[in-house]
Amino acid sequence: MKSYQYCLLICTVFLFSCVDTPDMPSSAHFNLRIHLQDTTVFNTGDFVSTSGAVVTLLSQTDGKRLAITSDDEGNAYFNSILPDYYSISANRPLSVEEIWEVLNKNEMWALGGDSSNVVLFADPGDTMTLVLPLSRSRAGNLVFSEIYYSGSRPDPIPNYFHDQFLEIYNNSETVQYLDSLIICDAEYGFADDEFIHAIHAYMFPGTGKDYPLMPGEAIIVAQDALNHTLYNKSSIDLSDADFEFYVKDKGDVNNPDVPDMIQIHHKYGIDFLYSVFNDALLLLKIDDPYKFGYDNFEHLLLPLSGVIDGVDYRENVSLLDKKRLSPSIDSGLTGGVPSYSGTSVGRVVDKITDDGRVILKDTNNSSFDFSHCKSRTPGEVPNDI
Amino acid sequence: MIFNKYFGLFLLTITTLYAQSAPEFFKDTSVRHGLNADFNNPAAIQSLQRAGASYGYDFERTHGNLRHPFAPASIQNHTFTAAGYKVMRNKTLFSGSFSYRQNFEGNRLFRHNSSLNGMLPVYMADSSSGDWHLNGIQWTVDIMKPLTEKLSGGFSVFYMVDEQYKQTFPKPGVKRSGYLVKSGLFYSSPALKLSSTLGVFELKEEMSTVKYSLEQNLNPVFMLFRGYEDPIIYRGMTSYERLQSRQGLTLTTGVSFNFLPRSPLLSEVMAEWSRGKAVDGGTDNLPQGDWITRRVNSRLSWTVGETNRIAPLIKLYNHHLVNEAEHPDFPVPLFKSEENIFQGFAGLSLRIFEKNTVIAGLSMENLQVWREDAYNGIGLENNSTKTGPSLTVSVAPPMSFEADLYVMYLKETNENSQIKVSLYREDKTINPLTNEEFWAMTAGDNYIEAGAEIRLKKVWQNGLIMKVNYRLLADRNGREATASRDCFALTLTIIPHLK
Repeated sequence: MKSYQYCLLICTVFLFSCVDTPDMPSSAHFNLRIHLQDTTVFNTGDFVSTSGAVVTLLSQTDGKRLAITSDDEGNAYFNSILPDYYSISANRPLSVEEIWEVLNKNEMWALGGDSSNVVLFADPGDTMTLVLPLSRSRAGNLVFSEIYYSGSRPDPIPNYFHDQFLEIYNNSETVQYLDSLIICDAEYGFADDEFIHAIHAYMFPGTGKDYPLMPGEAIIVAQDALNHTLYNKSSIDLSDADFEFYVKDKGDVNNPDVPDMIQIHHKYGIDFLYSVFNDALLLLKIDDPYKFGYDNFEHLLLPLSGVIDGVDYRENVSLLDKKRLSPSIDSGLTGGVPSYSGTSVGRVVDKITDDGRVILKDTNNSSFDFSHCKSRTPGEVPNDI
Repeated sequence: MIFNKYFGLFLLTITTLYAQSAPEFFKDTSVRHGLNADFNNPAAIQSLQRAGASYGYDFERTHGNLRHPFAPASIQNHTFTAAGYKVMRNKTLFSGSFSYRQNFEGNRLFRHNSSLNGMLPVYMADSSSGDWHLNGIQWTVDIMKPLTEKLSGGFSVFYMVDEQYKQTFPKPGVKRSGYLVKSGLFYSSPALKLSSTLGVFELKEEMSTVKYSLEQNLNPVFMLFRGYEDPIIYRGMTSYERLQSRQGLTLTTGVSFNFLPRSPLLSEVMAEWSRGKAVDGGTDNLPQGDWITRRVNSRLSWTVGETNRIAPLIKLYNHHLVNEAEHPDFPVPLFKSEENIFQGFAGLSLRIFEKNTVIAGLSMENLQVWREDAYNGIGLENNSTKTGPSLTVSVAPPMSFEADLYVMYLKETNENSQIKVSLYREDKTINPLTNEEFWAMTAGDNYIEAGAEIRLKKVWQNGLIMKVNYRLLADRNGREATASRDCFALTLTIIPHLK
């Protein structure tokens, strides 16, 4: 055989490869240690104020929640979690004895901390440490306990949103009065502003003490206080609502037996319809709602200092950069509810007092304070944790 | 022989597998050119006549329950092709083809990548399945120009565009387009042939759907990036538009010479590298990440004493595929996959009469697969080997026709398949869909293929070539008694005024 043929044979290439199969697949799991740091006066007590706190991780990607109770050194260990954007919340209720020891007062306080949209990532198998400061907080007196915004399933009417309602709950141990309180929804794009830019704003009637709300009681404010099942079978009966939004001269339906909310500002629509996709609702106490006038887009300007409670909701709860409210009002997002599904979001129970009074969770982070309710329960507040 | 020699009709799947250019790999159907050559190189095309044309119809039907969960239950492809070539006065050879395609896929999920190539994790979109319909066109232009007596240069362009429709709500749509531009050099002498090409390509797939369904009381799940388990990243949930694109390079080299007298040996290697990227549209678009795909395909054939009455011959093919991707937000591997398919044939060619040949031998296929969800920590492994006999008979009776008939049977002789999980996974439960994927990947232990090519010289003064091929993959020892997948292909080519 000629020498050049040998050379060519050597140059002839046929590539055959084997697949490198590892004994075990790689994974991105890593470990997380959250160290709680009490920055309050309760740090001076004889008890470990960071022990026994429930630390919750909420994955922005898939909504998975992981909850761990902190140990005696204030550490919460999460093993084998995946890199993601997380919201973190810590909640440490203080007992009557602990509060009395430090404050010499008989008050309800809790320690809490949260952090939203935090990148948690470490090399696989490593442990990441995060310090979470705790501050003291009190549950709000009046809170939104249920928000039904999504609208009903078509049965047979599609796009049926007239049965929206809000439920307001007295979360405190004293009587609260609804007179002159304002409910509004906030426009998008002003989360960093010093004002709420209200699209619609309605006020409870009354002269001061006409509408008391006892501790542990709730009221319903309906878009239309009707029995909606007569029009759409998958809807609900709101004819017993406590209040309703009524827009005169726009063709809105009015139930004469249900007190109407007083219209303060109404930018558009035949009714106070808050979006079935994303919106922000607030409860405020303001002496003069017209004091600061309007912005360039005909939104009523309401001061942040008047906010009692605020909830930001969205169909995609991972879009924290699209929030309407400042983190000082609501640092999270609730929602994730399909439009026209007939379901709502409801505030979860934080604790139940010895006399059976339900205290709903109010950490100003709706990612943790609310959960998806598979059925609407107007006027009914959950009573189990 | 009447036509250009069609040798090696057996193991059609191997030829198809090797010859897959980037666009063919992308859309999972073959491309007809005006002229074929021994090498995958436009500079290597030749013609015996100054001009010619052909008209072809390709039909392919696939059906069966031994399939990937995301693969259609049934496929029907129809392709109509017009091709031609002409030699110019300066000996430049132009060759081209134009094809119109209609494909029908039954009961398929709406997902990226519309062709399940490369084992890339699919993007689950609308979670319902339905029947799909595709219309598309593609064309090729190949140019060969002799540079010297032995050296020629070539240039080829391929372009495709197609659109897919789903018949059921929410009726999403998919539009695809792509091109491959390649240039090559070819050296040819009686003793030696050398080939090399370099090409660039870009392939795009654009998907769109509607956001939600009121009519069906459904809320379709959009655009989730899915690993091998539950969707690992819920990204762009309000996005209902996504564009996936791939750009890459392809390089081939080949050689053919007589290693031993009258014993032609041919070898060719194709290497391809591409980067894929996904981008969301709509109001809440989010970066979706990118990935790298590498393919290396090689083949070798050698016939000892080609003109002898009895001639040993060997054919080898190898296909190697690697995919890697990183998480869009974190520097961690998201998925990896590696696949190697080796196919070989060794046998004897026996010439009975002048133009009648029988080729018999042993075929073997080895499949090695590793697919890894490197985020959640789960891997699918398969290593299997099939062997069996194959027989090809070529006849050319003293009438105006020639025929090649073949049959092959492979049976699994070795298998090592398993699902592996990372120790860091606290939940060891395997997603049912992952189990289905694993079953589809590893089932199939019996393979039968049979086919024929008949070439008629004078059918109303025209030449006619008819190819028929049937393939059956069956799972005889698995969970279902009748799990199988078969494919029937028919190709008709008319060559007008063949002399």
